[in-house]
Amino acid sequence: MKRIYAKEEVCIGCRLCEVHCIVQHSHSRNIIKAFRDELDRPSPRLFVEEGDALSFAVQCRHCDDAPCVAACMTGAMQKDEKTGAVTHDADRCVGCWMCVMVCPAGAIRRGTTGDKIASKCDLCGGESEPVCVARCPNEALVYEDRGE
Amino acid sequence: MKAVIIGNSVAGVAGATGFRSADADSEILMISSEPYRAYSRPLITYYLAGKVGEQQMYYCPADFYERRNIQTKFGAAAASIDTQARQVVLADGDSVGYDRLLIATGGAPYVPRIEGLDGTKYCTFTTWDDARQVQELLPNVRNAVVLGGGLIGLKVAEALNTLHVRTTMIELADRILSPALDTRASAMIKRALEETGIDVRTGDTIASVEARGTQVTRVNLRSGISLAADLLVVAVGVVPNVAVTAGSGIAVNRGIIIDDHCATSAAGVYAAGDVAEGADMLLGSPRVIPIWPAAYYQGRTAGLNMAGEDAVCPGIFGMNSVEVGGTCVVSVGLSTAEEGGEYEVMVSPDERANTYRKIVLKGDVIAGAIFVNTIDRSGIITGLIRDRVDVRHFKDALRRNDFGYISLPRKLRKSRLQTLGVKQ
Repeated sequence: MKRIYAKEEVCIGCRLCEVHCIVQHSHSRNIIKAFRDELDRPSPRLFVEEGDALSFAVQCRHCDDAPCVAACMTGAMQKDEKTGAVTHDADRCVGCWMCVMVCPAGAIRRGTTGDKIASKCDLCGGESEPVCVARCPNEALVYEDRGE
Repeated sequence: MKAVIIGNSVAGVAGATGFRSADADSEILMISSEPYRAYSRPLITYYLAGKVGEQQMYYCPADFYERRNIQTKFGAAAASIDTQARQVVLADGDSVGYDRLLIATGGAPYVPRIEGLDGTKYCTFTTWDDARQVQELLPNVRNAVVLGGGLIGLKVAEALNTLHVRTTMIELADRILSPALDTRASAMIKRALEETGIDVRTGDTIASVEARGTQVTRVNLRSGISLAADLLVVAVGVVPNVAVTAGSGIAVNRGIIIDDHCATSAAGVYAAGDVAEGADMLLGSPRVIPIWPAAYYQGRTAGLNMAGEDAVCPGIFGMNSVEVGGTCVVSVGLSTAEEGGEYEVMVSPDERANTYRKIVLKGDVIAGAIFVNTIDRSGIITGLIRDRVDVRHFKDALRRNDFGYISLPRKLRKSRLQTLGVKQ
């Protein structure tokens, strides 16, 4: 299946991936309105780790045998057998943080707005190209099937 | 070929889906003493608190059994197993034949002997009906006492408190959540609970219970303290529900003993979840591992093997995540180990930020960890434990709350981020 891979060698740390993730999951899906008007705009589901002259985005790996799916006690985390994506059902999540505890990529975080629920990449709900990949100015994110 | 599963919680469900994934045709029958389709037992405290409604309680969709061609016998308790004849005898006298059997009966609440307790309407708290029962009693409850400072006790006390019941929690050990948390982390959770108005008493237990008929009226603690109580919830622990194995010859220690394929000592019989006693990756000796992910992995392994596969159970170790009184705590592995002998312990407390981070090293690998409030990305540590990664070269970075993949050497970082979650 296609997965998002980060290329730390060319990441410039601009964090536009985070910005566009926020916009994609916002109410208005408009960058100006999302940041100006939406008090409850979501936190980005992927995030950039940054250090001295080094940065890269980290996001859900949509694992074949996802630990978060095994650990989820409400059934909110599921593996979509058709698309391969690990999906999170916000309506079922109770914010127990078992998924945060088991994700080896550290790709799941506590959501910062509204209901206390988990936040992670959803591959933009099946778009042909996730917006973080599409909007990266330096091709530091790719969406490809590496035949694994 | 007929597969029978006794139990309809996460281990049983994982067993059924595991079996079906390898065998699309053989008959599966799931038997459960409870009348409901699979629901999440951990959610019963959320149900009591009013945080989830009935629909959210269900772990599986309504058509789960039908879609997988799984037969069900709910509201039917299994009484015994005849491993020679390969029959499960039900409490109502009916019997069911099996070729492969999965025992996933979970745990039963442990009730200690307490003077005056017998005959009273005290509550235990492991099933949905227990939560319903407490709900029914609530209108007449002003003072509640929860005996037990473990995960269940904590969440029950929190739920009662949010329902404006004056709640006292009593724990025998010197600190709450003692198997999972060290002194410092436990103190932080205790303070969080106390700030919500719950009275937490450690190092104490109930010596006797006073009642008017079946109605509890007062509890007297060993310390001499005495409190009014209209509701008493006993949540001191859960023991494997092995009753169904009596007389069967199936080897049982504390729980039903299973090997790395989740097979029991009886041919064709498997066990999984809170009823089972299997390998703990970190302890090196088998134990009952009463946590959700263990039940899931053991159940699935059993199901696959029942269908003729050769599946080895993934490495399992203790871990817990809970949020009470607004404070989150994650504990993983040998979290209460102290500095000395084979363990090296690094702690990063931050009083002002109200966070605590503890990493336990054993040689070159991480063996345990505790995170209070700074839980985001704690899964990275869990993954390093599970994969037994040599952390020598970035040991110091482990102390930092902002520890991340950036702290790893480049080669290890790239290898993990490229291949995590991908079947090799």
